[in-house]
Parts: sequence; C-alpha cells; structure tokens
Amino acid sequence: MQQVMIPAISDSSAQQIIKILGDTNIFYTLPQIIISIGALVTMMIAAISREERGQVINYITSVFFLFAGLVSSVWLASLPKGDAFSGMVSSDLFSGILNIIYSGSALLIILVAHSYFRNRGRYIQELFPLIQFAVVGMMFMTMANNLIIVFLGLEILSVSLYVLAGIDNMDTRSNEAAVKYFLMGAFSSAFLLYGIALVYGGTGSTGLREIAAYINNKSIWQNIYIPAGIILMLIGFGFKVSMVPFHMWTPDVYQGAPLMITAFMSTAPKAAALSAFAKILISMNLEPGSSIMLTNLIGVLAVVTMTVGNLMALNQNDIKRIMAFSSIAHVGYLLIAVCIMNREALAALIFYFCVYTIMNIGFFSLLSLLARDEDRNLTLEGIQGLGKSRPLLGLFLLIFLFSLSGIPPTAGFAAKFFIFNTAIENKFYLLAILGILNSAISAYYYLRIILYAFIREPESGSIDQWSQIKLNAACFVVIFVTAAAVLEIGIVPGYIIDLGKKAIQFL
Amino acid sequence: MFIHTFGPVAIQIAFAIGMALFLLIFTNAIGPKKYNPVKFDTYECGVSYFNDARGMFNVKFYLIAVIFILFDIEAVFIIPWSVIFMEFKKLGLGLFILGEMAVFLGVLVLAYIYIIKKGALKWD
Amino acid sequence: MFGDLPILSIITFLPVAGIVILLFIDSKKNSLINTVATATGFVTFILSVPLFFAYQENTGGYQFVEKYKWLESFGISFHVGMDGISLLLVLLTTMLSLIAIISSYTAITSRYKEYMITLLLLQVGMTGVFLAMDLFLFYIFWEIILIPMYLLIGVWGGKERVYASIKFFLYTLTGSTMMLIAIIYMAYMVKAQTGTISFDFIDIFKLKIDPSIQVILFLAFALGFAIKVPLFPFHTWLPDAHTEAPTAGSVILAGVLLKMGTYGFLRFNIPLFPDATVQLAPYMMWLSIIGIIYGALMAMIQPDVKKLVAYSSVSHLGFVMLGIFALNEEGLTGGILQMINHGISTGMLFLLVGMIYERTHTRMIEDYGGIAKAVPVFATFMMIASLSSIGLPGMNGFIGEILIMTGAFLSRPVYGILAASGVILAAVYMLWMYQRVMFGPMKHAKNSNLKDLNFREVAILIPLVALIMWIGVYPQALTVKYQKSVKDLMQLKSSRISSTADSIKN
Repeated sequence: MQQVMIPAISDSSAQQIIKILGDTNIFYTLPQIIISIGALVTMMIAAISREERGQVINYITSVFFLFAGLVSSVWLASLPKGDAFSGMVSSDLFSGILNIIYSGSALLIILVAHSYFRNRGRYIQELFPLIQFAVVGMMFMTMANNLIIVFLGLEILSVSLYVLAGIDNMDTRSNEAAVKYFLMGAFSSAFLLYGIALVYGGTGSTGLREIAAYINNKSIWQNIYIPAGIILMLIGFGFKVSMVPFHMWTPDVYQGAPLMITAFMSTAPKAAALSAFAKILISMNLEPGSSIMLTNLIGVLAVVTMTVGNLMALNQNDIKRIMAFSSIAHVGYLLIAVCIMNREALAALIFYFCVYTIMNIGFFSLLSLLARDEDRNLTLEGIQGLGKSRPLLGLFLLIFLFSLSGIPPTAGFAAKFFIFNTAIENKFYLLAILGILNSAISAYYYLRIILYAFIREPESGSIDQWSQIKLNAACFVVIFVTAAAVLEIGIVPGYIIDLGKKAIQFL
Repeated sequence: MFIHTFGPVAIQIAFAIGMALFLLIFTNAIGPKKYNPVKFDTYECGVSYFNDARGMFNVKFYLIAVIFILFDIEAVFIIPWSVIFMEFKKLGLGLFILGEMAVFLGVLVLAYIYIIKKGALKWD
Repeated sequence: MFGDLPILSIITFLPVAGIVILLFIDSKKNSLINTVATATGFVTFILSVPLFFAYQENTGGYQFVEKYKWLESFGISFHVGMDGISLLLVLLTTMLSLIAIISSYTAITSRYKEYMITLLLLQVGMTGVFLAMDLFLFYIFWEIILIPMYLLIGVWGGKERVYASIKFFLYTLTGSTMMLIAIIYMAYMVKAQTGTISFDFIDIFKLKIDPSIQVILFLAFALGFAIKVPLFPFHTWLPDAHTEAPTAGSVILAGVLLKMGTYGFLRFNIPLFPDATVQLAPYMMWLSIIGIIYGALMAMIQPDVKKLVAYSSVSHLGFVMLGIFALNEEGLTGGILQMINHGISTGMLFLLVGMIYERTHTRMIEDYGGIAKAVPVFATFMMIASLSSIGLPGMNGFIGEILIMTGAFLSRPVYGILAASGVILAAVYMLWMYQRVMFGPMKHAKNSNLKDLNFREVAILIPLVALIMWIGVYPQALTVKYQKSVKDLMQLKSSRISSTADSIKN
C-alpha cells in the first residue's frame, strides 16, 4: 500500500521541483548575491582584524563589492524584463534603475564614511556589512512581486538601519537614536504586516499579480479588507519614510545618528519604501474611480507632510535637524507623485529619487568635512565663516543648497519641475500650487544655511578652524562628482527623464 | 452556516470560560477561609524567597538567549529540507540540494565565527 | 550682418567665459580680476551694439532667432529671439552691467573675485530673460537671477543686508511660483489643442484660451511680474533691497531687474491673455496710479538719499505700468521708452549716491548740505540726473512721461490728471533733496574736504549723460525700433475687443 502511494506523491512533487528550479533564474538577483557575499566577507574582516589595517582592507573590500553590485545592476537594467524565483521577484528597468541608486548611494556613502568615522575617532567596522545588507534589503523591496518579499526586504533593511543608527555605541545621542528608531520601526512593521494580512484576506493572495487579477474583476470597495489593508500599508510605509503624522522620530534619529549614517538613512531607504509602495499601488490596477478616496487621502498627506516639514525646519538651529525636516518635506513632494498613481508619475518619482539622492549625499559629504566633536558643531553658528575661509567648499555648499531648494539651473529644480509638471498634466492643480508654494517656503531655511556660511561674520577664531580642514581625496571626489551631477542634470535632464519614462513601460 | 461551522468552537470556548468561572466562584464559595502570615508570603517552591522577582540579570543572559533563539530557529529550516531530500536525490539532484544546505549552514557558521570572534559567548 | 552667427547666444553666454577665466585667477590679484571682468563686460557690450543697427525695424517681429533642441520629451527648446523691445533692454543690460563692473573698482573691498563672478552671472540671467522665446527657458533665466542678486545684497550689502536679501529672495521666489504653474498649464493646453506639448512662445501664442481661464493665468503671471516691477502693494521689498545692496547691485536692480517685470507684462501678459488684459487693465492702471503717488509721497519724507531714489523708482515704474496698460499706442510707446529712461537716469542716480557714499560713508541727507561748493562736478552730474528723473523737457524723462500721460488721458482723463500730480511730486522730492544736499551753508566741516569725482567716475557718467541728452532730443532713434512691436500689440487688442464685442452682440 505504501509502495503505491509514495511514487504518486513523488511524481507530482518531482514535477513541482523541476518547475521551481526552471523558474528560479537566480542570475536576476545577481546584485543581491554579490553584495550579500560582500557583506559576509566584510563582516568576517571586521571580526578578525580590528586595527587600522583591517579598517582599510574592509573599506576597500566593501567598495569593491558595492561597485560590482552596481555594475551588475547596470547589466540587469539592460536586460529585458524577467521573473526570478517563480515570479516572487522580478527584474526590469524600473528595479534596475533603483538598484543602481541603492548601490551607487551606498558606494558614495562608504567612500565618505571611511574618513568621516576616522575623524570622529570611533571607527566601527560593522558599518560596512550593515550598509551592504541594507542595500540587499532595498533591492529585494523594489524587485519584489509579492508582499511577503516586500516585507522581508523591508526587515532586512530596517534591522540594518536600527544598528547603523546606534553604530557609535559610546555616543549617547546615537544610542538614543537607535532605540527610538527601533521602537518606531518595529511599530510600523507591525502596521505593514497587518496591512499585508488584510490584503491577503481580501484577495486570497500576497502576489501582486494575483491581487491585480483579483481587483480587475471586482471593485475594491466590494471587499473592505483591500482598502483597509492598503491604508494600513500606507501607515507602515509612512513611518518608514517619515510621512506626517508618523514623522515624530525623524528629527531625533537624524540628529543623533552619525552624520554619514543620517545621509544614508535619508536617501536610499526612502526611495526603497516609496518605490515599493508606489509599485504596489500601481500594479494593483486600482480603478481610477474606485481609488478616489485613496488619492485624496495620499494627496492630503502629501500636503500636510511637506507643509509640516517645511514649517518645522524654519526655526531649527542644528543643520542635521534642518535636513531631517527637509527630508520630510521632500517626502511630501514625492507623495504628490505617489498620489497621482499612474505610470508617468512613477517616472517623475524615479527621477526625483535620483536627484534627491545625489544632492543629499553631496551635501552630507560636504558636512562630513566640517563635522567635529560628534557632529555637535554642525549648527548654523557652527559653520559661520566657511564661505570666507574656504571659497571652494562654499561654492559646493551653494550648489547643493540651491539644488535642495529647487532653484534653476540645478537638478533639484528639474526634479521638482517634473513632479509638478506631472501633477498639472493630470489636473492636480491644487497639489501643484501647494507644492510649489512649499518649495518657496523651503528656500528660506536653505538660504539660512548659506547665510550663516557666507554672510554672517564669523566669530573670532572660527576662520582658523576651517583652514585646518584637510580635503581627503575620496571625499572630495564624491563632493565634486555629486556637485557636477547636480549641475549637469539640472541643465540637461532629458536623458534621465527619458530613461525613467522608458523604465515604467516595462513595469 | 456560520453556526454550523463555528458552532462547536463556540461551544468549546463557552465551556472553557464557564469552567474557569465555575472553579473560581465555587472554590471561593465553599472553601473555608483561615488566614495566617505565612499564607501571604511569596510562594517559591517551598523554599523561602531571597530576592525580588524584578531583580537585575546580567545582560549576557539576554545576549546568549537571543543567540540561542536565532540559531534554534535557523535549525528549523533543516527539517523541511531533510523531508524533501530524497525527492531531489531521486531526480539526481542530490549533490545540488546538499550544496544548497551547505551554503545555508556556511552562512550560519560565518555568523557563529563572528559571534565567537566578537566575544559574545565569553562570560567574563 | 551676422550671417549664421548665433549672436544672441554669444551675447548671453559670453560672461560665462569670463566667469570661467576668473575662477582660475588668484583671488588676490585685483587688477587682473578687474581687467578680465571689465574686458568681458566690454566685449559683450561691443558685440551687442551692432544689433541696434542690424535690427530691421521695418520688418519688426523676432529677429536673430536661434532654436536648438533641449528637452524634447517636454517640448522645451533653447529658443531665443529679439524684437524691438528686447533689443533696447538687452542694450541697456549690457551697458549697465559694464558700468556696474567699472563702478565697483574701489567700492568693493572684500571677496573681489567672487563679486565680479556674481555680477557676470547676473548679466547672463538678465540677458537671457529678455531674449528667451521659450517659456521654460524664460523661467529658468528668471530664477537664475535670484541667486547672484541674493548674494550681491547678502554678502556685499549694508548693515541690514541679511534681512533685505532674504526678503528680496522670498518675495520674488513666491511671486514666480504661480507663474511656473501657469506656464506648465499652458504647455499642456498646447498639448490638448495641437497634440504635442510645447513651451514655445509661438505655440502658446496661438492658443485659444477661454477668457475666464485667461483671467486666472493673467493673475498668475501678473503676481510674479508685479512683485518684480514692483506694483503698489507688492513693493515693500524694494526699498530694503535697494538701500542694502552695494552700488552696482542697486544700479542693476533699478536699471534692469525692475524692467524684467514690465517686460514680462509686455511680452507675456498682453499678447497671451488679451481678453484678460482688456478686462483687467483698469485695475492695473489704478494700482499704477496709487504706486506713482504713494512712491512719490514716500520718497519725499525719506531721510536717506538712497531710499529716496528707491521710492522714486516705485513711482517711476508706476508710470511705466500706467503707460503699458493704457493700451494705446502713445501709452505703450511712452511706457517702453520710460523703461529705458528710468534705467539710465535712476541708474545714474544710484551711481552718484554710491560715489558720494564711498567718500563719506553716510547716505543721510542731514549729513550733507552745501557740498556743491566742495564737489562742483559731482553736483553738476547730480543735477543732470535729478532733472532727467523729474522729466525736464529736453531730457529723456520728459518724452516718456508726456507720452504716458497722453496715453493715460486718452484712456480716461482722470488717469492722466492723477498721473500728472506724480510729475509735480517728483519735482518736489527731487529738487528738495537736491537743495538740502547741495546748497545752503556747509553744515558739516568735514564735508569741505570732500574729493570731487575722479576721471574713472566721470568716464562712466559721461555716456549716461550723453544718452540722456540724445534721447531727450531725438527719441525717435529708439521708438522707431519698437514701433512695429507696439503696433502688433495694438492690433491684437483691437481684434480682441471686436471679437468680444461680436460675441456680446451674438
């Protein structure tokens, strides 16, 4: 009897095995594999060698692996669309571009972080594996075709970020940041998971394509679990990207975490979370009619987010806090694109991610040269006289800040223009007007930084402080390249925009 | 239909709650009540207590507990693997599936080396 | 004359070459920096002069047009061209930029290289604004100007420069944001009507826009332009910015930047939204008249010479706006001419104030008095500039103002009468100021040792005086260049009025 049954089971499972192995297409996750290996290798180096030699080896190794990851991402982006792991993960130009953003930004951050942490005096090598694990998590979030994979990627990312926020384990502010970030992050993960569970309950699947097929057949309002699930997911992602009213943790965490970690947290992970959410929304094939409530909700949140971010930034004194609120405001502009919920808006989103990542990393790299005393001198008063004593650094500061406030001919303007352009094209006039007014408000606090760097007379002695800064090669290259990119994209943004537009056709 | 499906469950829940309530109320009602100081003492397996339950533990306990849980959970993945191992072997993919587990365990071993090198298991 | 030479691009971007050279010069070599900056300004000016003669006034329209692909997917191109109005304004820009550079040799003591770079960058933006034929390009240039002007006021300005620079920046930025929305909106309107999106002025000009939407778009544009002009309720940034800016900054601010606002009205608001223009012209005129009188009254009570000149700008720009929105040939001709006149005479006034400030480090009227005896050459030039600003017959201001007032009278007599009071008030505040500063007994002993103007200062004032006289005697030389443009605008207006009249009849 048993002898009869076992072949029967084994036949069907053999077919299943063959099918699964055939659908694996593991090379579509090549960047993740390379960077995971890099993370493991650097982790081992961190465990074995703690001295300066180990730091340098670790630095070089992680640069190498991230660069390899970047190259493989470019290669994948050039391939046609394809599925891996039986459709759980898919690779296309959209995910390819975002993978390039993730690995590229991690690469830039690591290039600067090496000298930054040396100057800071506490160099913890676990920095390298953690950043690489975070990149792997982000890549899975974007490539995910299944809500479970999105959650998995998000957790890989988040756990790495919790530790990164507290990487300077002797600095109490860094520890405080880590605990706050961890508590809020765990909270938001629960929301996200609950949302995923509700969507699963409503549609019977966690696969995005299956959900899309289900929703195409019926209106989403027939099943209350779907909109409820989407809103819970919005809250979960909202915590991660610091959308108002879930932004409370942002200023403290950004201020407390070491500068280059803040730079990392404020760029790529936001791109990952927002692109994942936008991808989920768009691939769900929501009917325009049935999702009006959702559009309105996200639109209101977008306006509130950018307004609160900008208004709170106006009166801050600590530059890292200003940048925290500024990042909240930028999430607001990005949410405009999410709210439009169509493919052109996604192209605008990709373009904005590119630009925001470049200019933010450039600005933070510049700050990393100035940071002293566990970043405590990065206040408005603290940077007085920079423009006078180091005109070149002042020029870079100008470029980044004008770009952040969206003044032409910088990339920041092109990015905002693209978003508002898309908003007007889709008849979201009010959103465009409020967004553009907000960007005028934001000019004030970016100008204040310029003002203190250039215009206010320095306190006695602070000029000497700047003349002691040594430009190290890697950091200078990063600043120079990002500044050049900001200007270059600002003047001829066409090809990146076209790339973005092409990317969304494949989605 | 609802009753049909969930009826037994409901009955069971009602029975459980009812039983608990019954025991609480009934023992309270019929039992004799004689108090003395020993009865109000903290109960600790017959041995007289020596510390507050909310005392401090060495943080290493937590560290080791967390590490134990992590490795314990990873071990769970080995069970489904071993269940389907024979199927793969029949397909001639035995070495492949063995290699897969080797990779998985290899990563775990790396983590283990890391833990030892960092001194997480050192008690002093 | 220029063949296939992309002359407009060259004029616009030549200062960039100067900036690049300056970047590689050691910041301590002031004389070399002077030479490079002045040479850049000079070559640009010399290149722009032949345009005046090469422009075919009989043909009119846009000439020397260049169009290159830029952002094709958005229908944005690098499209520049020049008509009679922009011709004069570009010449004014190149001339005043050169003068501003020369006038700063001694006035600026710190960060000289950065200062010159800022001035040249400013020149790029201003020239670009007057030449852009693509609305996106126009907006880019319009915003680019904010950066150098902000730095000019903020870094090299007076005591309250921080407040003034931020105020200037935020006012103008806020004003232009609505314009950006309107520009994008119209680009998509082109897409709706023709199928392809375009930011090109020519394409947007051909749009058929519903009059009620025209009003909204008109207001969106007008907000940005009115702040720049500045029209009456939006003028509060101007006195602060002027007072705190360095001399060259004030010259350029008054001479060119304010004209960008009036130019914007002429170039975009009137041709693109003719129905709305006809409908809203009375309101604009009333605001202009309030500006004329308010500016003049405020100027009268200022204790600070520079602030007085700044408020006189509010008054004069009110005249320009009045002329433009009189919407008749006289008014438009006078308004455009007055734009140039104001650039020359107010620019000269600011230069003179700057020159005396360099010597005494005060701008308060009460700190002077009777200095005509000490500095006769200065007093003479000041007289010429003041009279030109007042509009004395035989000088440039007269022609412009008389044309504007004729236009205003033709539009409605009450406008003309009220505007005329502005002229009288101008005479009052200017001459009163002149009398208190120059005549009477020498109030402060140290002023008797004042040095008179040196050769360099005279050299930059002489061309301005020559222009004042030339335009005063022979204004046709300028008006003929843009007569065709004015006629086109008038034709547009009459066609719209008849079409609205038709629609009312039907």
